[in-house]
Amino acid sequence: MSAALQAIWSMAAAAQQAPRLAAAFQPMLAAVSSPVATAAAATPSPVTAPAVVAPQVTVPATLPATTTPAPTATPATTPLDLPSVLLSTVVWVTTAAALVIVLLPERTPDQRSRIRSIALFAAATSLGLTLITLGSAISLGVGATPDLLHEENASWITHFAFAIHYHLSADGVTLCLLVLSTVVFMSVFIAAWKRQERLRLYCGLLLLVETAVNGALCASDLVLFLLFFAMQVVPLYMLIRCFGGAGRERAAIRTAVAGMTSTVLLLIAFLLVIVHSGVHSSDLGDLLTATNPLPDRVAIAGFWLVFAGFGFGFVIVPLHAMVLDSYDAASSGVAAIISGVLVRLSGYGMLRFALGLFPAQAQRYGTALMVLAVLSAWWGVLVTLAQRTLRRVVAAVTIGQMSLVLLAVAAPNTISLEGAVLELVAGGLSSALLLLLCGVIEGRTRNFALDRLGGLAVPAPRLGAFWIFGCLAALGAPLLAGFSAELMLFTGAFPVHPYATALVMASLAVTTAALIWSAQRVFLGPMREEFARVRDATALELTYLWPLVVFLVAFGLLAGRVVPVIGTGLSRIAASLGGAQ
Amino acid sequence: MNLGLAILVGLLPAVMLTAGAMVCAGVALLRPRTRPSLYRWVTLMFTAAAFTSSMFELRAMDRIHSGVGLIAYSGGLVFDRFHVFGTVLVCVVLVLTVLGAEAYLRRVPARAGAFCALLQLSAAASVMLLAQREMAAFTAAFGLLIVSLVLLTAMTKTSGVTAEAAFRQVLGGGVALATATYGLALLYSATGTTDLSRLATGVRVDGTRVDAVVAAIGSALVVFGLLIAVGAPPLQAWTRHVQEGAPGAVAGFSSALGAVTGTAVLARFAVEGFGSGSSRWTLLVNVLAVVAMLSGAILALRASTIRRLIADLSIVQAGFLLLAVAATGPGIGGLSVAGPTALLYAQLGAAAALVAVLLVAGIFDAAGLGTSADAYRGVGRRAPATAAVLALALLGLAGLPPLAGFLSRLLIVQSTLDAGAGWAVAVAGIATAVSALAVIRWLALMYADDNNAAPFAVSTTPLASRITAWTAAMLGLLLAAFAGPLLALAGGGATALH
Repeated sequence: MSAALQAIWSMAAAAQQAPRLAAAFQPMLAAVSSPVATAAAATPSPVTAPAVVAPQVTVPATLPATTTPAPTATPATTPLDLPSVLLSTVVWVTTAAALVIVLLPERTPDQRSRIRSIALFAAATSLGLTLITLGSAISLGVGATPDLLHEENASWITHFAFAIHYHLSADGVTLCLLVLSTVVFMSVFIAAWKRQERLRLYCGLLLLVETAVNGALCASDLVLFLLFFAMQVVPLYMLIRCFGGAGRERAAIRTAVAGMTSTVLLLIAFLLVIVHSGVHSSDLGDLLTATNPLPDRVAIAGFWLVFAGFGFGFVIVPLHAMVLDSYDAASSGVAAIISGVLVRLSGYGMLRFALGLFPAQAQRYGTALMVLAVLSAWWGVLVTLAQRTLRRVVAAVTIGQMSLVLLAVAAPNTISLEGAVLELVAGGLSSALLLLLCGVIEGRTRNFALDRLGGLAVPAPRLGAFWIFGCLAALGAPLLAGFSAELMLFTGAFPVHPYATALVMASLAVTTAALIWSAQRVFLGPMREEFARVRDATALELTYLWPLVVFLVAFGLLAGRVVPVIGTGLSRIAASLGGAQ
Repeated sequence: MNLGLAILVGLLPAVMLTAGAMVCAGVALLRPRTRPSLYRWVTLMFTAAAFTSSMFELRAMDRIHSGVGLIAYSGGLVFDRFHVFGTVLVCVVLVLTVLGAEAYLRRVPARAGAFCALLQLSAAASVMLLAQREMAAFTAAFGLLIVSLVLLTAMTKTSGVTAEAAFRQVLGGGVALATATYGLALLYSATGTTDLSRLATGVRVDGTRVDAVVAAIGSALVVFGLLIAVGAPPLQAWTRHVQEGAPGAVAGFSSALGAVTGTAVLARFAVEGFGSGSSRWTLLVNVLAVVAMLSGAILALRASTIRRLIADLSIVQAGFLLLAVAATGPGIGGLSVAGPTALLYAQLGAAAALVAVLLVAGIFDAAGLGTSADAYRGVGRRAPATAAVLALALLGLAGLPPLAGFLSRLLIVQSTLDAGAGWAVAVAGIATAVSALAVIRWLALMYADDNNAAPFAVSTTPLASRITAWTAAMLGLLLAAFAGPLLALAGGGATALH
């Protein structure tokens, strides 16, 4: 593992050196570049200019100022004025692979192998580039503005009532969630290595979902975000409907309804903001620095529309049921994507848009959000205790995890928000790990019910170890990512809502007990005879389970390095919260 | 360039299309055994000539009137950027249809001449209708459009369903033409002139006030009549029957041409007749739009055949176009609402999606698949490439990302919100979600529900038609990717309506 980390650091260092290397080649490239291109690059577009210059961020007195330095203006391009396409590559390489895959036949094993290789290569490319970018951001530390390092900002639509930009950027928050997304997708692609049936459709749809998720994470324009966010609805429906198990029809349609409803609610909220802000732009940077405050009525409507829009994916009680069905009905890989990535994407949206665009409303309705957080946490506990299948237990734990993030939204300050981002990553990795393990266990035992499982640790000790590790990670055991996340989250939330925080902490303790009980029922105790020949984890399974474990540990051990990077990403939100106060 | 020549240039696209129609009709009459490909080439050639003429029209506009437009026949016809945009769009639809109708032309070679002639005649009528600002010109062009479309459907009769569709189209068209003519007659009596722009002034030619009640009834009748072209409720029945019964290319042409021309003419009539943003007409159009969106979306959920699904989705689409028509006037920020720009851009996406989806449905028809939901089960495995194109086209028609349909709906909704019709936006959101679910349900049939039937070839449709269908479907992606320059063009066209 240390060798792998060393390699990542080396790549990060190389990424840092890239501009210098490029500068060395500048005279040569300048000689061959066309005068038109040079002139175009030298003349900044009036639309893109505000996004390139970062706003002056003032950390409010009430917020801990340790990790939110004021970003300085950094050019969005290299010294060559060549635009970075790194984020575009991260986002679109999977779509390119999907388009290639669609054209390939899948009749013979060789042809199917080619499809798998292309899908895995695209996912690995996304992951590799994301790790390089995160490594580079970590190396630069708190003094850097990682969101501007690889920013891509081009006007898409200017001749309309408002300008729409193809604006991709990756700050600390985005980068951490990009790592989560790309790691989980890669694990799911490896998990599909033995799949024979309709491989082309499966891989193509998964690649499209990955594009949608990565694009939504990188999008710094409201319309662009919406475009990517809505892009996952149809492929996800198809993945559940075509490759799911019992009850897939109902689960697929409920997921699609939730997705479409979210899209419509967000569309209306975003358009309200755009129309009333007076900036004639859907660029997030322009909207955050708009001088005219939104009318109160519009801001309240916008806040609740955004909250409800992300609420479906966020598994907030009472909207949780729409998505949780899919945990049971989808294939384990797709369930891992839903729980590990898509639910966390809604959490990201809640932080980025509900808090970022409507800070005053988030604070005004903090108490209501806090009540919802407590309600969700304890509902999660009750649901966990009532579940009879492994997947349902993981689904119920997800409700508890997301209630922690909601608590941070209800008590927004730098520490709790940094904890929330880390919790999104930790929760995503751990639930993806558990759901992939569910798939393995179900495949081995042909059994879904907790009552009929037991003693699996004897024939399959490695699977048992992974499961217990996943449970510990989901609950926030020390040295793992979840521990730092929960510590920061509770530390930040306690001064604002002490009783609510205590209640959520108590719910976590009960969930811990329930999860450990489930592990005990499945893996410990006397071995059932019918499971005596159950195989332990194979090499292929280890290949896709280990990366999730490695990143859970890495985020836990390197929390001190990662959190400052997250802090720089949260600086805008912190600034707007300070302004609202 | 003098004014007379410039006006001639303005008329030239319609003249070219009419000339093409006459050549095709003449050849068909004199040499009935001529190969169908000749008619196709003639049509393409004259369409190209019409397109080139509209580019000349644009240049003439720049030189003479600072881009405002050329006015002919005492204001009866206006050749402005709005007209140029519409003409180009009509030409694109015509080209896609002629190339996509290859299968039909091969099947019934004896009718190829008449078919191509009617296509061009309909297009010429559309182009003239886009330029009208006077009652006589309006009635003549509208009548010609309806008659040629009815003849097109009747001529391509392949079954009893098509015959019924043509008959219903005759009935609907007759009602629409009569209603619009009665409306125009009332407007004439209210204003004392055939000039439609007089309505906006509120003053008769003799200086007295316009009778508001008569003018309102007249206008409502004209709007009602135009709805048949748009394919919106309550006159949407013909659209559903034509789309269910006619060959794919013909159904696509009728629907796309109707949607484009109907909404464009409605926009010109309403904005120039009543003034931009006047609540006298925007409320009515908004209500009609809401009815169209909701009814289409709900019906789409229950669609049992692919053609019916397309017809219902096209009604939703028509509702969105109507919403864009009504989004005019000053916005919340004080600037003009960009509804007309959104309308022109949405027309591009709507036309491409309608033509694409009906052409692909036609390909499956030709392969003997049938149109029922059962027939489409597992088609994603049985004919993967064509099924993928159909899926893409359906997603575009339902307005799902990342296609032009989504972007155009977003722009329309923004304009409507800016115009202060938030209630219509809420309904639009619901309609989009419901129609998306209808499409998703159909995709599930195609990909998830497999009846294990054997794969089949779609080679019964000529390659040229298949490529045209694929191109039309891909247009949805291209129109979204190049939305910036296209909206700049649409904005230029919409200036005439601001």
